[in-house]
Amino acid sequence: MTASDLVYEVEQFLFREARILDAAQYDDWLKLLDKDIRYWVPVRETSDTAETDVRDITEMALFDDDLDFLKARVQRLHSGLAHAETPISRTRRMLSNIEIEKSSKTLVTVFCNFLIYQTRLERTEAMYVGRREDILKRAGKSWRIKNRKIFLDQTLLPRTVSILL
Amino acid sequence: MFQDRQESYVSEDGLVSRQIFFDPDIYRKELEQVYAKVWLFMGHESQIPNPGDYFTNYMGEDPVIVWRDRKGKVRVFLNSCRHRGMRICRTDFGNAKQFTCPFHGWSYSSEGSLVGVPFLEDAYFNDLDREQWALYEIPKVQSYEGLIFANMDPECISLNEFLGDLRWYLDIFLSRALGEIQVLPGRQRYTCKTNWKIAGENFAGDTYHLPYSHGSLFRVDAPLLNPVSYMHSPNLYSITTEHGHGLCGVSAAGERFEADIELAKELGAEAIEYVEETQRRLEERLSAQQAKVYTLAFGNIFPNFSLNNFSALRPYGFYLWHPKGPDAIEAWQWSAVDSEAPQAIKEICRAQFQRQQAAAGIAGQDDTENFEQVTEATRGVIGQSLVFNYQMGLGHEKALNPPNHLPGTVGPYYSEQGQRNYYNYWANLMDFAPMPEAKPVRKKRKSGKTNGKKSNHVVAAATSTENSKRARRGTRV
Repeated sequence: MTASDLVYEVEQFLFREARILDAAQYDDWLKLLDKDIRYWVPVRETSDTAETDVRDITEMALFDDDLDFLKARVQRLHSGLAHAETPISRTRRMLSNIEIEKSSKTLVTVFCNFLIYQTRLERTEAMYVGRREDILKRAGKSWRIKNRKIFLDQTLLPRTVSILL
Repeated sequence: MFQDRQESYVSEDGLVSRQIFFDPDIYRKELEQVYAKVWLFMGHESQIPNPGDYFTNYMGEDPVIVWRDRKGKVRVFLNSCRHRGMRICRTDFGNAKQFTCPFHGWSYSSEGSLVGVPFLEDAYFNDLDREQWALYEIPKVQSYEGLIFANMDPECISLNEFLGDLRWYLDIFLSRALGEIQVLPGRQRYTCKTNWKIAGENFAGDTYHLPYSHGSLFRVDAPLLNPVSYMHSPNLYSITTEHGHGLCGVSAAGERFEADIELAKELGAEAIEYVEETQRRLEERLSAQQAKVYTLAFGNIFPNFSLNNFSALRPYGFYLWHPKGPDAIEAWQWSAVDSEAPQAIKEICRAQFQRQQAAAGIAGQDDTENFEQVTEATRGVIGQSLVFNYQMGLGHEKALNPPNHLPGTVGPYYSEQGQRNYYNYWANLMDFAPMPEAKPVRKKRKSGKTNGKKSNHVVAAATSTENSKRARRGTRV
């Protein structure tokens, strides 16, 4: 496989994943996750020291989920009592600046920027902007998401986060 | 106007005008008569352990710096240069010997002194009274067992008096830790388009929303979450104390401790030992009765500081609902753990905070959905002419036979006593007609009066008959 083949394949995987989330096909999305996934979204704060910009992983985060809890979030969305997502939001995920670093035969690290637009009901709106670091693991002809770090640029969130970022 | 301005907005029997959540004049008055008069929570001392450490916060709409000075004293300053008002600290936290205003370069020390003025001679002819132009210092700052509060009013009552009977419960919350209460860095902040009182009252008294608003918690396989905490039990109580404070789900006979032991059994010997040790710690430090209460569940310290802690295996959650106009708030939330808890329990606490009540938690988001859509659905002309109903439990006080050792006013688990107490104190601060102890609705009905007549004090001092009629119409008691 050439480098450009790999880039194409990984990009297509991420675009497909974004489409699945935008379509609220959460059960299909869970199938894209590695059993050992860590899904981590740290809190951003404005500090005068660069090293505290992205905080240590043991501190308070917005999301710090394993596969079990991501499944629980999906279960909730199907529960009929997820009021904040009933009816579900319309979302649009835009990914760009995708860069790929091959770590081993089966692992790649992927950097990208994202913009997520969310709207629901009449005038509820939010935008989430940031960068992402994913580790993807080869699974046959496709990939599984083994690790996802989402660094939002916002310190003040536009609302509570009722969608998967 | 469809409806004239009223003189009173809170009735004796638990009805509240919806105008108090929208009226810009009321909002302005609140900033002056509520936020500038009562003790406001700033943060925990563990957030600023060293001289020079600071974090920023708000008192009403005034931005402040909470700063430990060179000698270790915690001071609170308006975060604004005395010259032309520029924000002098533009970071959320850190350590600083001084702040220099980015506009013209005035510098202030951690004691608030104006220590540097550029071109003092050339620009001011050495004729500037630097003492007069020191940083504006919030006159009253006090800690209660590590919780830092500040008050803009130099004539205010003491923090101890303000907290009153609530201290009996706060002591439990604050004394159960084997080590220090350690705030986990990372304050979560989000915007919500609602009035600040809608959020505050939710913690002050709204147990009733738990089973349905947070019904999804019961439908997911996530043992770390704690829906059991939301279950009704005849031995759980709502507690209100003076100055508008309210607690929900308070256990008097050890239920929360027993629930912890059950959970700890699933987590292993270390967890069981820890839970038992926290109980012993409470017995040593406080009374046997307080040890039975074990935790405070959740509540609100008036006006906008909510907190929760369901047990020793649950995080300490701190929530501030900062007013940002009549129909907007910024929610600031952070969490703490017992520094001596086993690492595994700290992790459980951290995960539970994130996953349940925090910004992306599966309970918190349903609350903000309620808050925002209540706001959307009540801002119109008819919506504003109606009242909110906080009458739950009125007239049934005798049905409850509460233990008499619990301080404050003890009500049943499902009750809106907390909200009535909250709005009663609010109305007092606002100089609106004070609301005496709420009158039982049932008794009135039995006395032969109609619902309509009863509602004469729906909006206690409605200025016109027309208003009373409209208010009545909206009151489906």
